[in-house]
Amino acid sequence: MSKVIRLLCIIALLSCTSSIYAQQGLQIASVFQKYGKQKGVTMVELSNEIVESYEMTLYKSITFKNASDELPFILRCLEADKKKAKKVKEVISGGEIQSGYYQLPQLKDEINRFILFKTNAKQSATLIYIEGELEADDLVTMLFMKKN
Amino acid sequence: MNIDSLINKYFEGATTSEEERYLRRFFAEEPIPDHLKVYRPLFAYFEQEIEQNKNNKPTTLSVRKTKKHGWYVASGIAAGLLLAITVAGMYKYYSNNTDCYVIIDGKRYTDAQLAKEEAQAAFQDVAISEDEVFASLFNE
Repeated sequence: MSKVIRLLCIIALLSCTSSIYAQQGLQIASVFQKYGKQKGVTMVELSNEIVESYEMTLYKSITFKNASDELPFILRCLEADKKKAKKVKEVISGGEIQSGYYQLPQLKDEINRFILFKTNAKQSATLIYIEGELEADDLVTMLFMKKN
Repeated sequence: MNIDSLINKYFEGATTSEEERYLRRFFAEEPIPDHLKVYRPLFAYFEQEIEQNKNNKPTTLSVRKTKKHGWYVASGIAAGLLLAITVAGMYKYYSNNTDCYVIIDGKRYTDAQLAKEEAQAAFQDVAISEDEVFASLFNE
């Protein structure tokens, strides 16, 4: 009996440990993890009160000054996560994704999820992940307003 | 019991346990007839072996018990380590989840204003211009 109890405790602990790191469930999480502390990279994370006014609960972005080495990995991750997306908008030039806007299935309780991605001619790249109650239209408005 | 016939029976492999015990007791005690003294080392050896086996049994049992106890201790230590790692991981996860931070060239800053500015800059990078295909974005 004590052996069974011990085994159950170990299984429970293992489950807890693994669930902490699997919450996002997206491949792009590995982009943030892998390159977030690299030279030439800026990574931002905002959550809770800071982004509340935008109807967001989480904002994460990573910007590369020169992403020529990292781009293949980023694009592979996007390709994997894109398969789960319910809306995909991409601008492709020369066979490569120049910009991508993806809406993913809701996480829980009307929490929408978005991935935004863009590269430019100077080989810089920006990847953004957003969670929140904001709708796609709200996000598009924000994106359009920012540029203009 | 006739000791000579008993010895013959022993070498024929026909003795019972009781008869063998008798033989070993006989050769352990004095006096032994001269014509039988030659067999004494043989039965003395067997007596020694039996005594040794009797002494070894508890040792084997205690080694087994020690091994079992060792497994319990090892699994307890492993469970404790796993618990400690889980708690450390949870602490790291939740302590990293501050409201805002920015990492620039590997250096972490928790200045809210700086983080907001960098976030806005990144958002500006992905913004859509009038020249791009705007109307088709997120339309059904």
